[in-house]
Amino acid sequence: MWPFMRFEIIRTLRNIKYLVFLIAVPVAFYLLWGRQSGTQDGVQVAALALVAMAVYAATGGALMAAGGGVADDRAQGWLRQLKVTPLGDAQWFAGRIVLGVLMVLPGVAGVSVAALTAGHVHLAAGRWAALIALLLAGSLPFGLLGLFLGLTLRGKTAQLGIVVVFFALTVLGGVIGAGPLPGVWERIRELTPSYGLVQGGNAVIAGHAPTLAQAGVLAAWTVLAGAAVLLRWRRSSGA
Amino acid sequence: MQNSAVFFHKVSMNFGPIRALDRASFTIGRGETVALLGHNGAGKSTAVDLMLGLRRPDEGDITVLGTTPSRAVAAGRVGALLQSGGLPDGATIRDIVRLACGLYGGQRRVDEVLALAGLSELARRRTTELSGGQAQRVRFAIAISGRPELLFLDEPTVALDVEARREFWAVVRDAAQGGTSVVFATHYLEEADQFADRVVVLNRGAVVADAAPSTIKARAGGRTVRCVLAAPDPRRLLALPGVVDVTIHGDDVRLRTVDADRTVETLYASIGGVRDLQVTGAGLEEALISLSSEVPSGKDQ
Repeated sequence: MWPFMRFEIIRTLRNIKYLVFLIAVPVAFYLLWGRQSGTQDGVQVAALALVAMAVYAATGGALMAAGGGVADDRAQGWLRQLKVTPLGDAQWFAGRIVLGVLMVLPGVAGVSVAALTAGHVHLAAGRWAALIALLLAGSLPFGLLGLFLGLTLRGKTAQLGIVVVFFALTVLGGVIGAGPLPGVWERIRELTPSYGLVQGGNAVIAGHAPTLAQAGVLAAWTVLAGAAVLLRWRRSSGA
Repeated sequence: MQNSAVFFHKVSMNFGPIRALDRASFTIGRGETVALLGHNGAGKSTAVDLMLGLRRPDEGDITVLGTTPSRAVAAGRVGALLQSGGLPDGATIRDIVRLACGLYGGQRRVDEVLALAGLSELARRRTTELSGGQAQRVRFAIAISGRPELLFLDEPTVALDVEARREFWAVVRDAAQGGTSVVFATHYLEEADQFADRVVVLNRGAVVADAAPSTIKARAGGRTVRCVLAAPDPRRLLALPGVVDVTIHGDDVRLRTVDADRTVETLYASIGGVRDLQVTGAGLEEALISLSSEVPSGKDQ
């Protein structure tokens, strides 16, 4: 599986769209709006912005790395070619998910460096590490969701679908934009994985563990997206 | 059967109402190069997919290198160039070959595979910057990077021009040296004749012939002799040795013969005034018609 992982990591890092939207954009957002002084509930505002932009980079990175090229690979017959090499289906599947989680790191690292240098965020190393660990684990449902979209939609529709889902979750989850949503949307917000991840991140940098509700939402999305991917994969590989 | 490269026994496969393979049987020996010859839709690609474990047959047995197709593929003992296989975007040739070498467990070095497939100069190119022939050589590189015991090439030259086709086969011959069994599907009789030790002819999913290329060509209605004659006389031409059919358009003459040597010899000796003489093999079309009619078949004819 390692040669496959290496191949896909290099391919993702050569992808301009990935580099711009999932590393340059969150870093730029942070530099533009995140460098505020002051505190909110005893936590630096600059640190809260770090969480928001790191979630942006992580969820987008996972969605795109796990699912982005899959629709094209399928359409062009590359997946078929891989099927006649010793790379098994299970390994391909595991490789894509690990890739989705790993490709969270460059964007999160970029935002973290911006927060350290330009944002003057003071955070104990342990809390910073806990935040990154949470982002890695919490990006799993996003990777699965991206993989599901890549296996389900065709060609350019898949790319578009991933971008639409990404921005919907970003806005709904309160990753970008401030203030509560109107009416019932505020209730829906609490059910999105992006909201769960932002709130969990905020808790971690304040020195608390994420609440059961936040972890529960993320776990439920992981199970749902995982089941959707498995069903899809079974059908497409058709015994 | 354990020591053959492929044992394909009474295999049938249906896609809905279409019978893609109809109790087809053949065996590929170790080290042999065998052509699967037939039209589009004759069942060649289905047979290749089955031998690679991409599909399961409705009926029949398939053994590859003494085991099941899936196991042989998973063990990296088989290499394949698929007709429907493609290359990924956003990767260089070297990236792809490195991946293939890695997946097959380092049986060959990356530079060695690039050189074998004639890709050394193109290693830094992206897949989107390749000609059809170059892309096909990349797929071939993937197929040989595991030093396979058995190599499948499904219609490897179908989209290539004559020059690219010749280059491709030169590369295959170099790379397949040393006991590799090669199975290639084609609908070019000439290609089967030039590169195969044996030809298995498929028509509508059934094996209609399995013999040496020269035998297939001979049984396929022999050869065609074309020439220009001043005043062609159909009766005298039909009387020439070996000739079975005569077509005349003005002074352009076309003879179908089962013995081209004697036909031409007598043509020069007894008729004379022969210009622009050409001898060619019969086309696949005629070959399939004559082969199919020789073999009794349980199918609707």
